[in-house]
Amino acid sequence: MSVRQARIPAVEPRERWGTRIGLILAMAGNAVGLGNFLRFPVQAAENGGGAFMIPYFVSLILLGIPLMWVEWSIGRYGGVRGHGSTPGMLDAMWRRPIAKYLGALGIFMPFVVMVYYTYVESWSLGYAVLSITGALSEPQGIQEMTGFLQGYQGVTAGTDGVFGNIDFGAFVFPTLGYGFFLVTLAANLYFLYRGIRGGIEKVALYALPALFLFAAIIAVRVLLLGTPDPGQPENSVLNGLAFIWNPNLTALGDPAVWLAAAGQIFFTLSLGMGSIHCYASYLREKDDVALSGLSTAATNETAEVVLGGTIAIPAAVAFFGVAATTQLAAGGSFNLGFVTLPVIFQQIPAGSLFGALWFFLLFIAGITSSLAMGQVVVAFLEDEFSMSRGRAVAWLGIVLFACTQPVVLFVEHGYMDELDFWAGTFGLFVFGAIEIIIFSWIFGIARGWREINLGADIRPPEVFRFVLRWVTPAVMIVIFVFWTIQNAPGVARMEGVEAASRPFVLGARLFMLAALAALLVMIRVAWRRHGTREGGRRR
Amino acid sequence: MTLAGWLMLGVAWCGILALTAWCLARVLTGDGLEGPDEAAERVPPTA
Repeated sequence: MSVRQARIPAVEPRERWGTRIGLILAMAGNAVGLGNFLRFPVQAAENGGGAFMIPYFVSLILLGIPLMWVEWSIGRYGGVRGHGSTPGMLDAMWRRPIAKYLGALGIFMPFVVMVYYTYVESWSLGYAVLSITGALSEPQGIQEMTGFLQGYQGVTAGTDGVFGNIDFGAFVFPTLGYGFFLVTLAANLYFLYRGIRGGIEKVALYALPALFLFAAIIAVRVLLLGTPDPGQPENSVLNGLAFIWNPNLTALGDPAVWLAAAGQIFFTLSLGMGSIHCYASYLREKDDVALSGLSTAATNETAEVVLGGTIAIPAAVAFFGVAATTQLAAGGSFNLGFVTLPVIFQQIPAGSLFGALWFFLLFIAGITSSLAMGQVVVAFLEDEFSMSRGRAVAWLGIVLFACTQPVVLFVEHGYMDELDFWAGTFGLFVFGAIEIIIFSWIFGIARGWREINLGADIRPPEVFRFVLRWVTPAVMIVIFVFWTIQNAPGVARMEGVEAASRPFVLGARLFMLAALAALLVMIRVAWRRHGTREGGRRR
Repeated sequence: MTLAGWLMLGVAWCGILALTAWCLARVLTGDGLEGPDEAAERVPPTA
C-alpha cells in the first residue's frame, strides 16, 4: 500500500471492545433511540396499520440488514488501518482524494445531530426527575401539559416558578432545563473520556438491560389498562393495538407508504450516520460482523416493534380515543412522548413512578445514542490528529457547548428543526447512498462480500451478494430522490416558517455550512500531515 | 382488533423475538471478544 508521506511515527494499538455482548449492546444502544418509542408507532398508524409492516420488513431485509453489514464491514476495515471515522475509512477503500472528503459527512452528521440531541436527551432526564418530585402531576390536561413543556423549554417564561426561567426579552433563559442540559452534557463527556471499554461498553452493559426492563414494565402496564372509562368502551388498549396493527391492504399500493417504511428502517437502525462505522472500527481484523450486525438489527427491532408499538399509541387510544390520538400524533412524536403520556400517567395508580420510568427509559435511549455520536468526533481527533482521549473529549465538550447555545435559546424559532432536517434526515440519505455505491461498486462487491464473510459466525445467504450489488443501491437512490423531491424544496424555501423565525433558520444553515467547511479543512490538514496510511494511529 | 390484525401482530412479534433470541444465543455461546488483546500483534504501518 502506498504511503504519500513518509513521516509516520510509531503506532500504538487502538482501543478494543472488552466483550462481544458489550459491543452488541453498545451498537443496539446506538440504534435504539427516541424514535423507537415515539416515531415508529406514529408511522405505523399513519401508513396502513398492520399493512405497514409488510413494506417495513421488506425494507429491513433489502435495506436495513445489508446496510448494517456494509457499515460494520467498512468500520472494521478502516479500524484495522487506524481510522475510526469515515474520512479515513473511505480513503482506505477508494484511493481517490475525494473519498476522504465524502467521508466528512460521517463526522458532520453525528456532530450536528449531537448538538441538538444532547439537549433533547436532557429533557428526558429533567422530566424523569420532575415525575419523581411530583411537579409533573400538577398540569391538568393536554393544554396545560403543553404549556408546562413550553415553560421547561423556555419557549414561554413560565409563571409558576417551577422552572426559574429568566426573561431577557429577546429570549427566555430556561434555568432548570439548562441545568439538566449541563448534567447531561457532563455525563456524555465523562463516559466518552472513560473510553470504549471503560465508558461506552460499561454504560451499555447496564443501561440496555435496564432500558428493556423499563420498557417491558411500562408495556405490561399499558396492556393492563383495558378500558379505563367503561362509559366509553371504544377507548381501549385493544382498539389502540388495532389502530397500529389492523392491516389496510389498499395502502400497499401507495408508494408513500413504502417510502415511509424504508425511511423508518433507515432511521431506526441509525444507518448513514457514521456511528456504526466508528464502533465497528474497534474490532479486530477477523472479528465477526455478520452475526453481530444481525444481532444489533434484531435487538433494535425488538425495542421498536414489540415494545415501542405497545406503549404510546395504545395508551393514548385507551384514554383519548382513535380520533384524538390521530390528532395528537399529527402534532409530532415529541408531543406524544412529552405531553400526551404524562397526562395519561397522571390518571393511573403510581403514575409518577411509571412517568419516571418512561422518561428515564427515553434518557437511556438518548444517551446510548449520543455517546455513539460523540465517539465519532473523539475518534477523528484521536486517530487523525494524534490527540489524547482527554484532549479530544475536552475539545468536543468546548465546541459542543458553544454550538448548543442557539439550540437552547432559540428552540421556538425552529433552529433545532432545521438542524434535524438537513443533518439528521437529509444527510443520512445522502451518506447512505454514497457508502453503498463505494462499497458495492468502487471497492467492489467481490472484496466487499469477502469482508462481510471474514471471520463470520454465520454465512449470509449468497442472495445478499446480489442484493448488495443491485437492490440496496437502487432502493437507496430511489428513496433519496423521492424523499428529496417530496420534502426538500419546501424546507429549502422555508415554507411555513414565520418571518420572525427566518433569521434563526438561516443562522442554523450558516452554522451547518461553517461546520462542514471546518471539517473539510481539518481533513485536508490531517492528510497533509500524515498522508494515507494504514495500521493504527501515531503515538 | 380484526383477525388479520392479530395475525400481523403475532407474525411480527414472534418473528422478531425468535430472531433476536437466536442471534443473542449464538453470540452468548460463541467466541467472545474476551482474552488477550491481540491488537499489538497486528502489523504496524509501512513507512
